[in-house]
Amino acid sequence: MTAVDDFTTCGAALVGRRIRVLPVVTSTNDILKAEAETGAAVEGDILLAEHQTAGRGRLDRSWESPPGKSLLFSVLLFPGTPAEHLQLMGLMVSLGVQDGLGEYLRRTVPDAERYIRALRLKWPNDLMVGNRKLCGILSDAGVDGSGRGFAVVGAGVNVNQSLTDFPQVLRSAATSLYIMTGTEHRRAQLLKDMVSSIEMYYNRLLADGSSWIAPAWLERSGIEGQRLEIKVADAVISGICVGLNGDGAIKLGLPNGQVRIIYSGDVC
Amino acid sequence: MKIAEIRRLVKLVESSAINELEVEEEGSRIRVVKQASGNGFIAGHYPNYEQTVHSPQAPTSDAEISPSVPSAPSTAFAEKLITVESPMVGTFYRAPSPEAPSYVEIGDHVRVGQVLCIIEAMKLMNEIEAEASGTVVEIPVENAQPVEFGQTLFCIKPD
Repeated sequence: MTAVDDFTTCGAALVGRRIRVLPVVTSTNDILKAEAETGAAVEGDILLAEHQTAGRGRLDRSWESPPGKSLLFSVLLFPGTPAEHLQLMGLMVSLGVQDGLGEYLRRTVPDAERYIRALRLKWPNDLMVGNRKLCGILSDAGVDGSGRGFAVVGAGVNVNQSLTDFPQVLRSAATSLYIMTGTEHRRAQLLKDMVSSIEMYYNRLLADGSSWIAPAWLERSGIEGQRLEIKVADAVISGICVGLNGDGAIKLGLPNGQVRIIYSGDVC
Repeated sequence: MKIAEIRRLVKLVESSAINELEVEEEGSRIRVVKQASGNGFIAGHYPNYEQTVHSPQAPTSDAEISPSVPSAPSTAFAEKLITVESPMVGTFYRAPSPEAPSYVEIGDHVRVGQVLCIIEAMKLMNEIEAEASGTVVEIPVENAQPVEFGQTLFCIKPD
């Protein structure tokens, strides 16, 4: 951590009103979820780690996080949505992360638009540059002591890694802001911009409900009408994306004319 | 099909919301039907060449009961099992990570609120907890396999 990385002042009115930074944790999601269950953490809390020893991805693929080079944080959200819509929180946060990245790049990098144009959402909530992952998001659902459902949304953004910071097997699958732009980036400012965007979306959610999230994500992603291959367990399903369900599941038009709703899988 | 396997299937139907189950395996086929009264079963066990049973519209009647596998008296299955069903469509995980031990194994005693598994949907991890204490007697889903809403994940013999 460098002197400029004062994350504790990066919060917005609700999201990140309290930001705690830990040097090494197992998983920010695990800790924040446990705290939410006991009431020790409150809505909007952010827990940030310089290094995770048990960060997870889908299928529990670990998220590589060399100390101090990535931005690893979890945010606690009480969206008030039905439990089956909690998974929309990951989609919503991915929109905020993308907007925040755009805001940050415009402010700090010449010719930012070419980088911003290269960012794309990958269902359900990864942020990619081409076929390389820039940010991964994984969430945990829980219920607090008074029965309120919550989501802990954990994001891992690759910021200042060089290619050699990634293990060999990930070098063709990962990227970072540093790799993209050739310059080092201020993680605290980036967090502040992301939190500000997440706050805007969260306020909209609290005011209007969650029905806008899937359509907004679909429009941003541009995947409607695209041919997709989705790995589900041991099989690969091919089809045309014909939209998203209101709960965020992908609707895949199959060659036989049927539409399959997919909640869990890897878009190839 | 072995008698033990048939008993297992009968128990599975008894403890679930489904009324009928048909399983085909290695040249034989068994059909277990919950009677209208809900407290008895008809078990049909027949080789594949009996084409009449292939029709899904075939009415279930006592005539389908194989002489070799008499219908089980309901008293034999009075021992009720509690099923834990998936509350959502997603992927079933028995452990928090590939290196970690499973949350529970068959034969384990579980208590109310104990985490049994994770269902992942759209990268949201949902812990599924036991709603009754008892002993895990069956885990009919393989790790990392997709599950449907309402699909039985665990059968628990209550205390």
